[in-house]
Amino acid sequence: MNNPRIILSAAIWLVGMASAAWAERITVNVDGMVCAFCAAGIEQLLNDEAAVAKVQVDLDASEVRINTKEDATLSDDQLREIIRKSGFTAGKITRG
Amino acid sequence: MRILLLLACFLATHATAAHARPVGYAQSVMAMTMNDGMEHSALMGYSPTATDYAGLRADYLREDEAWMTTVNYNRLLKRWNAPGSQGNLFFLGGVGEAFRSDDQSAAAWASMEADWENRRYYVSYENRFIAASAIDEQFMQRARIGIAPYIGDYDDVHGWLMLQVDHRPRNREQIMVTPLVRLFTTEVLGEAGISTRGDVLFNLTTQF
Repeated sequence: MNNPRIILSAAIWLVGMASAAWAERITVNVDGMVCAFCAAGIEQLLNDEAAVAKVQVDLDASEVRINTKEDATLSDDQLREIIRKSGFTAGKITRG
Repeated sequence: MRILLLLACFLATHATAAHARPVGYAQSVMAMTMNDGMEHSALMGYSPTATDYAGLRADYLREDEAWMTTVNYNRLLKRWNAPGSQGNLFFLGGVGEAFRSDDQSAAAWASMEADWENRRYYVSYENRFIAASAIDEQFMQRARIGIAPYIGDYDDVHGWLMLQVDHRPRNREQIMVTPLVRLFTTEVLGEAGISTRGDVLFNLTTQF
């Protein structure tokens, strides 16, 4: 552990792990999401949220996958409201 | 009036995001142009919620050689969101003015639309009643069926093959059948077709 490179690498790894622990990956099942043209509204409204880092829409699975920013999250109620404002119905929400 | 139409057409072709409903998602702007053998229309408006839309609409009725400009309100009455499918029932209405030659009058119209689709099949029905002394009362109705020849991913260009049937009892040719192709991405939806009597259909919808 006297090697500075090993200490630096360990520190970077620990910081990375800590950061990853604070960012969330959320999957929302969405009923009625059958066309990309319509689902663009979900993507746009989610991207307007400050807590959201990345949005991925999967029409085959009827799912929206959301990566939050570090130290940020969205509650189930917030997610359901965003999906409702887009005109769709949120189903099961899973995290992690 | 023509400036309004040109402005709406310009916005419809230059906006950067899109959607294809009488009502958009909350806090979105929608612009649309629709052109076929019977009518040219352009509209632009705002959806404050996912169930309401208000805007301006201009129509040119080709057989009557008449213009109609209206303030337009659309309402999503009911949406059925199911796993793998969606159905909708809309009310649309407008009030404004109609113009033909030197004749001008107040105008009002109302419409009901219903549609259902999954990722492979599409079916819709809509009707419209126009009341305006300058162009007489009119009733028209339209039905569509569609099939997606392939199922694309979210970011792909999606395609539908559709058959549209128009019925306008006042027109010389009451029935018009139009096979058409619908292509769309997440940002723009366009439709093109040619009717059985040779008229071109071209529609473009955007939402941002």
